[in-house]
Amino acid sequence: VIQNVPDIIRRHQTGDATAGPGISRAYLPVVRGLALAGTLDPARAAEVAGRALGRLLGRAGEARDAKRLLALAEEITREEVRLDLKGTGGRRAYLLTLADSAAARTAGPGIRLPEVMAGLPAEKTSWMLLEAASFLPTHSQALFLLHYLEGLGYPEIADLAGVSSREVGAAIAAARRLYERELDLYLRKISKP
Amino acid sequence: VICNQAKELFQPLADGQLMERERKDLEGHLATCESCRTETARTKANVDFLRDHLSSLRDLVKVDPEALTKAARASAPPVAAPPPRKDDAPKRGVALAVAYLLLVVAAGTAVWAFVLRPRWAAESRQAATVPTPVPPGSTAATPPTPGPGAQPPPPGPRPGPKDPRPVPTVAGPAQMLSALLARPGQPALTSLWAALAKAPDQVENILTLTGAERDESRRALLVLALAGSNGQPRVRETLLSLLGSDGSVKVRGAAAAGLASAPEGAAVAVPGFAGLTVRVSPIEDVEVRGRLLSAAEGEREPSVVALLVRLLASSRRLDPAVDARLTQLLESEDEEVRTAALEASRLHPPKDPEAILALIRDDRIPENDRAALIQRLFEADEEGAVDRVAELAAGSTSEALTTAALGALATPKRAPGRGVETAASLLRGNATAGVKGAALQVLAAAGRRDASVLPLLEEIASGDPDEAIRERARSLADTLSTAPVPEDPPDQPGVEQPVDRD
Repeated sequence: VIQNVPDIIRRHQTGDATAGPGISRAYLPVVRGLALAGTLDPARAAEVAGRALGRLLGRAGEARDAKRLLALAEEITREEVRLDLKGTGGRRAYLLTLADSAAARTAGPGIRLPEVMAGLPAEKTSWMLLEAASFLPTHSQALFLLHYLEGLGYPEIADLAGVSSREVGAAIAAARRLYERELDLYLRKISKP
Repeated sequence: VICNQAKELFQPLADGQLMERERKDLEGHLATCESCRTETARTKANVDFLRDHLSSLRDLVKVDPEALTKAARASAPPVAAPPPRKDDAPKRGVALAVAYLLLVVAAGTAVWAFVLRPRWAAESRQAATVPTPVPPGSTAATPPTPGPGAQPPPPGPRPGPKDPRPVPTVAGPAQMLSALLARPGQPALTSLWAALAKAPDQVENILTLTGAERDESRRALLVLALAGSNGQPRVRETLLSLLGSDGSVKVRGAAAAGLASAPEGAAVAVPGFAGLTVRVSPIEDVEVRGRLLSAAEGEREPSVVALLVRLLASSRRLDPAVDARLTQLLESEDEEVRTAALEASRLHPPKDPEAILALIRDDRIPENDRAALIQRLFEADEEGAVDRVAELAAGSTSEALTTAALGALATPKRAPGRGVETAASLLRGNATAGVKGAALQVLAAAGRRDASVLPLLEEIASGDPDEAIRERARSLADTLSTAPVPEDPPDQPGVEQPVDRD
């Protein structure tokens, strides 16, 4: 449960040591979601998230409000994911295997995910869907994952992002539309000779 | 509510985040608008699907935010105070300068009175200090002590027992090993290797500790500590014996990575250690490669096998025994091993046509590699390759594979017979537009060398359901009908004739 992010930031900036756990708890979902989508590996994601949270706590004083702290969390996690992928030689690709599946043939405008992914094992489907999140820009990806991966509601995300719930809804809708369009384009691309 | 307003509410409705009043308004609109109803249903289906599948991955990542906070607090610099306001800056600056001056004077007096003066007096009475001997095997736990010939430190400002400043220390291999064991990670490992390079005699201590350690995780870290010194024969022998041992996956993985560890090279993950990588360079020593191959054959843990395969494949040339083993591992039940074998085969393509064919059929092979492998198939066995590639084109359910195979057949330098037959069967069947396009390329390459091509093009130009294909077939037929017939045309349609323009 995320509680009063602006207050946590204010306390952290005034040197209140008790604010650290609050920041960790509040920004863990962002960092964890981006780390998992970036590495597609739970163990590596835990490492990346750990390092990113540690760095975020060290630099949290740079952010004056929730919006900037979220941007900082996104930037640090993206950087840690990049370093991890560089160090470990990349990540496993799940979407590539869609080339021979029904997905490539049933894709089209107004994509219907249950139909596109029909017949694929549930676990593989989950990883494919997560991998496709990398089609999104980092901020859209963060909001998208906060909602669908981490299960946060609009008000909680609004608190973290320093915007209104309505703006969160609009941003998630835009991210989902972009996600569907990019996935559709990808499927068409791989189904072409 | 009109359609444009309704569309903005589809997402919050599907997410269950809509206010009661908005929900009622939207439902009123949906009752009368068919297209919005369809779009709402699609959005809901996608949103539910995304939530169900993505949320199942959430709990896989184990991160304890409390522990992280404690660790970060212990290691991070203190939080910077908020910047001073501009109007207060001059006054605050003067006050700070005065306070700083007073603090420096007070601290200097205190240090002189309570630390330097008594210590200087004591040291002038004492000729030398007697060092404490280091018990064997205790290297990891105790910091290095000065040797018997060490000089006492010169008099000067040193932190006393009540001095709050941190004590500056120069970390040696022992402290670094302690740090690595306490908090395994890349920086600790790299620093330890650098320290051991300057103090190679300490490697013996780590070898002793490795032999005595019973905790497998700590033992694996000790093995990794040795990796930076793998040029020493004793270290290499220890790593080789641990590789084939019945130790834990971590120990065997660390030994494998340790054998190939180098300052420069590709980074590989150490099995059993999440996020820990070492740089490895090719192992060119034939004996060591033989031991690695034996270990790969006896190894059960897929992540260690995969690492060994990568190490073996990284050398410039592949031994025949390794080549044979890689071909077997392409069929492994474990995906990680198969992937490693596949990468190795991409670096060192097999020579056996059947092994090449197996690689071509693997759907993880990138398109460029696949085309190169088909080319290699022709190089390995030109005559047999035409039949094999034609079978690939006709029998594959993968459009990418079919088009790649047709692309290889679409060349004037190959006899047209099998290629034209395959293209004809695909053009008459329910192939996709992409495959039919590639099949037409085969016919274009065969040209007038095969008498069946022109009638077939006429047939496609008039009967194919796809207008674009009909047009392409018509255009090709027009071009071919005006092209000169080769000097030595086939005697009978459909019978394969060798191409000999001389």
